[in-house]
Amino acid sequence: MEPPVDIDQVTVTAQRHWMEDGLSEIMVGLLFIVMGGGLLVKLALPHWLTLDVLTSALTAAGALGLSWGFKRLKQRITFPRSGYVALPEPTRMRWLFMFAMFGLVGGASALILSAHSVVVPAFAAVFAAIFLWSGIQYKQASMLWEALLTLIFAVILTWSPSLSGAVGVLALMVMIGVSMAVIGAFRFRNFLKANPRPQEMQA
Amino acid sequence: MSDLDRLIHEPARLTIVALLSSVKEADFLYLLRETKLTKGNLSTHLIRLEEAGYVEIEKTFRGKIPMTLVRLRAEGRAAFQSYRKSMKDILEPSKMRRVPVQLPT
Repeated sequence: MEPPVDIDQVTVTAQRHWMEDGLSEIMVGLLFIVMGGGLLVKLALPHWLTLDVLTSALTAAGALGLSWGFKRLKQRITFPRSGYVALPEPTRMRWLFMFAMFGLVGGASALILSAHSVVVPAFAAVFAAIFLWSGIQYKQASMLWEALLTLIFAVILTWSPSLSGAVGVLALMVMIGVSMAVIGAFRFRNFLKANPRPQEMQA
Repeated sequence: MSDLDRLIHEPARLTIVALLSSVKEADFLYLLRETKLTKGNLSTHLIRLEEAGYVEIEKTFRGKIPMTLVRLRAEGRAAFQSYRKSMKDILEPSKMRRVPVQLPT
């Protein structure tokens, strides 16, 4: 005897629903561009305190603005077309897990940055692994493309001697950001075509 | 089999409860889209679940557009977990059962 529906598949629907419009990819892509680009500008400018504070403030404002814009777009465009869903608040265990993961990634990043020669390939491998995991977990083909593109960018950057070390990693972030934003924009266009704004819906 | 909650075991209602179990709240349109039921069918199933005390339905507005929000109540969550456990108990012994094979001597 089997359950009448595949319960495990149904319970991951909400996470897939959040990503199906491509807005998440556009937002993460733009965030990568803002953060990577902001730090690249910071490295290129002379190290004056005022400039440092200004670029950091602009980067933070950009990230906050993107987060605000993402919520507004979801409310105005996605929810009326494909329905509203609120994901549950993370549990205490999940918060602890996320902090542990951030700590691990931070520590690993510091280690990788200290070993100058493997910086770009190592970061690319981490990003590609994350994209691969997300693609398989949420059945998102676009994430698998992101993983492949990340590896291609890593090969290009490794062959380019002027973009090594921290500059190479930031350039990789910007390149991944651009590819995510472009793929997200295509997915967003397809989402709008497939989901015209419906009439009023109620039970 | 007698332990199974017949209200949840029905495929459409099981899909609705499973969808709601992984979210804080969802609107009617989301459920309509994911269950692929008709508006009338979905309404009927939601009313049955509400009568059983498994879900909470709130009629509200998004701007000027009416919106029906649905949440799984604690009773519904408990019933869903109990259903999953019962299903697991039914399935697992059958997986573990070994048929003795008489080898020719």
